[in-house]
Amino acid sequence: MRSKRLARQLAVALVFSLAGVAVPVFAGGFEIYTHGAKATGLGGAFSAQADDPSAIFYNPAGLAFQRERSFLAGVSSISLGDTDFRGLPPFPDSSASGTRLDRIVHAPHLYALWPLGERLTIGLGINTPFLFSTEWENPDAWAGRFIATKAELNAVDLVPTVGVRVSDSFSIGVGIAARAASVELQRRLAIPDPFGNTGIVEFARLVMETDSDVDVGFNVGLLYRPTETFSVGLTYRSPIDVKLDGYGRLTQIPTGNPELDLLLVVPGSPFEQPFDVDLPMTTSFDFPDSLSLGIAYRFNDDVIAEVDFNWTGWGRFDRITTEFPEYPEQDFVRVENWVDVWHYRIGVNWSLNSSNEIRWGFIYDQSPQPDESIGPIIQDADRRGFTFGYGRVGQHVNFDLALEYAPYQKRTPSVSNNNFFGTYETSTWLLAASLGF
Amino acid sequence: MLRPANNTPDKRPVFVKSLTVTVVILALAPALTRADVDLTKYVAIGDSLTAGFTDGGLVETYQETSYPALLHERFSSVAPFEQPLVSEPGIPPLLELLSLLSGPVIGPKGEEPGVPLNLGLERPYDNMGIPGASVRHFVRNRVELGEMDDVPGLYDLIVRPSAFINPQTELPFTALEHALLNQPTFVTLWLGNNDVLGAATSGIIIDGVTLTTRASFEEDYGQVVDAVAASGAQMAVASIPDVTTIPFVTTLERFAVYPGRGEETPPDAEPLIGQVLPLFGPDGFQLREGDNVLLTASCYTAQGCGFGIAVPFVGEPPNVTVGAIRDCLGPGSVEICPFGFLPNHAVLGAVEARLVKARTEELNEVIRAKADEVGAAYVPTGEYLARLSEQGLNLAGIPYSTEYILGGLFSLDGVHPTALGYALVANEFIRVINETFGAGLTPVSLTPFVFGSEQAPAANVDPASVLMTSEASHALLDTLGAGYEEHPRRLLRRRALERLFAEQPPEARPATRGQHALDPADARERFGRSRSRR
Repeated sequence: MRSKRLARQLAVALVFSLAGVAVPVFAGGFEIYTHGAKATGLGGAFSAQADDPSAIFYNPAGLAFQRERSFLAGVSSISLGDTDFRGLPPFPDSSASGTRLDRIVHAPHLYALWPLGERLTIGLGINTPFLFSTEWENPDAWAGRFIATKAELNAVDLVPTVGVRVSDSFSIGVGIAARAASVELQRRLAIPDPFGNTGIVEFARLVMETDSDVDVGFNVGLLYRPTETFSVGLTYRSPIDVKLDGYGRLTQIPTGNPELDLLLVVPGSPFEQPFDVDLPMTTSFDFPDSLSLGIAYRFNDDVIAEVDFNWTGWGRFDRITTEFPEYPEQDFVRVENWVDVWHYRIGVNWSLNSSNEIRWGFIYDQSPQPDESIGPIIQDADRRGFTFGYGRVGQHVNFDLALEYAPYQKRTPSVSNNNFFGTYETSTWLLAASLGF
Repeated sequence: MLRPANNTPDKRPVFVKSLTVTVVILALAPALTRADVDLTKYVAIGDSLTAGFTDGGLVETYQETSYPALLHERFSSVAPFEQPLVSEPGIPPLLELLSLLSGPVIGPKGEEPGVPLNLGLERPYDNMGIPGASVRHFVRNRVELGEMDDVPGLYDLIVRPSAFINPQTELPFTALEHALLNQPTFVTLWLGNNDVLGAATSGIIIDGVTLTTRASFEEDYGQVVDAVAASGAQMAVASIPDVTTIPFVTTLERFAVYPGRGEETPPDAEPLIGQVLPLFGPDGFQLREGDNVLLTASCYTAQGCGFGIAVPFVGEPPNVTVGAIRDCLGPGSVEICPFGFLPNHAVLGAVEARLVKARTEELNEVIRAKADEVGAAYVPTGEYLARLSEQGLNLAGIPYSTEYILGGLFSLDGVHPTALGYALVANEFIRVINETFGAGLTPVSLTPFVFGSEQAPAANVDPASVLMTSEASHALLDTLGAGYEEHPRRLLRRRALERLFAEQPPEARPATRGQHALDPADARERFGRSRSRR
């Protein structure tokens, strides 16, 4: 009969996910820091508690103190936010505007734990540590279409983890993170119009897509609980560099000038383009490492508060190099030069009674993206967010729900690598749910 | 404690912040502009670059977006900015790209030049950009220049010397005096380009003639700056670009496709037709690394001249398709090619280029020093254009470069910028004026020069209805000939352009009768030794 209950619970989880009940929250850049609804309700301040299976992400050492076989499943439906762009001189000037389409992403997280012997707990987790997805409305007229009409990065981690209780108050945990990542970029191509002293000719769509590729890193955590009321957690997640192979494909757009259209397809002409063939492409992406230090304090039987200091090594994300071995004209290097950042999280968990808990959290998040890199691909900004969460603690099933609202601050870079100037304003929301048993 | 100091969060709501900022800007803006610089009456002094010269001529359309006109727009001055406007197709008629299919065919837009539209203005123009003017042309009057037989072609169009006679001397005012008669409060000064340009574009260096000496430049330039300063106007002075990096100098390579001479081709040279051969300089030697083949040379190479195959030219000058060199074989130039060497004025040798560059640096030192002396803003246009030439410009994902025809920054004459190029120059002025005087000017919008005046989305047309037929495509392939595929792809574009240059339509080639002044066997032997692709 247990399996029947399991099926019912999974069905409930699925319903929540389809209903747009969502989980993750961004942390600076496009790092996602919501990998469980309880932690999300606490604003992500969870590395010193780590007392549910999401410990696999927040602090693998937390596994060692969990002595029951358990399972946690959730789906994160994230509103990526819609961004309003308003141009500024010199280009594209205030006459230009654009809207980045909102998109709700459903990203699952799944964790399973098995205690082994007296001191050991092993676990397996799947989550979505990084993500971005940008798509601009009306791509035929969007002024930034020569940089991007669409850009997407997906990453999923599979994390086998082991936690060891070294003493009654101290544990360590280690996980191996196998990260599958892929990227996509779409843009238009144009050249200055040789026949006109002003203007350009737009002649192609370029779609670049990579296959998923897997590279490996690790997570390590320490958890120290010297007294019943106090705990400290420290988690480090290693950087992961992924190399990606894929294809680029050019599709011709008629320019309105038959002579140019012809020159674009004639072999050997100075304008020749390899339309409608898959051009092999390689690129790479350097994911940052991160460190979390959490301190939790239990004020009484009902109230626990935690504060976390998090550091993310975005300084590693300095450039994206993309090469087309058979078509070097399309090679490019995007200089990003992001910087390491801190984000701060505070959360309070209040047990109303033995089966109901409510939670609050506050997030202060700095953008690692420098002004010059802001553009149609990624538009990050500082954020301050509030979270609210609810937890239902049952005999066999726990249910957690969290809501986060963390608006981006308006951003107007004064320098731009692509000479594309303007103001970006993003509004977004977040809702998260997890089901554990 | 962990947070960088410069990232302290501001707790006020965004609208309060922006309101505060707006109020502060509104309060400060007039104070800043009025306190540090008075832009109410603006006059521009300069040469063709200041006049808005584009595609080999002066015409209303581009004069209206000359960098001084763009600056005046940003200065928000109520005083009108008068320019010596010229009607279509310009004076001289502007060049246009007629076709790319059979090589870049460039020709003038019309036979008859345009007419001046603003001749009746009863005061000097505010845009005193005189195409062809060196610094000395601003400090000598029309009579003196006439006596020296040194009057730039468009001088009288801009200066209208007969209209403004100095009552004391009863001589025409100098161009400098013209500019100051308008009592400017602010002057931009971009002079000196023609003090080095002639040496580069003519490939002939004569110190004091094609290349102004430092002493003489110092004297004349000093006189101009001092006069402007004495008038009470504030000014921004701009530096001289390295003219050895303009497409006119950099486009052609030291090799070209030998086109033969049609029926007049020496029989022994016939096997060489269609091959890429090295070019020979005026000294009779094969051109070396660092030698620059000027755009004007394409006119010679198109006729089989410059390959060391000696054939004297007889007959009418050809209908030349690269417009910048339409006079390449005028009457009297017949004897230039008897030995098959490029003439002196079609080549800027490596040593000559170094001399021009060095002199440019010297003159820029003079400009810089003079700017510091009188507290003028120094606009590093020379450095800016050098940067464009080295790195190109990624404008919102559109690749611009200083490449001829294709780059989008230099116009078809290979010397003067496009409208976008001029707008970029205007923004460089604005950047420095803001830095120096705290003027708070908004940059010029580049949008009209990229998307046209109306931002039209790409048409959604069925490709089949627009693209050429496959028959046309095959015909074109025949025209272009084979031979591109053998080059590595990276060289392809450049190589193909070069080839296109060399391949003029057959009717453009001269029908001439030639004699072999040099034994063709000799010539072939020479090719045998030296024929190689770079």
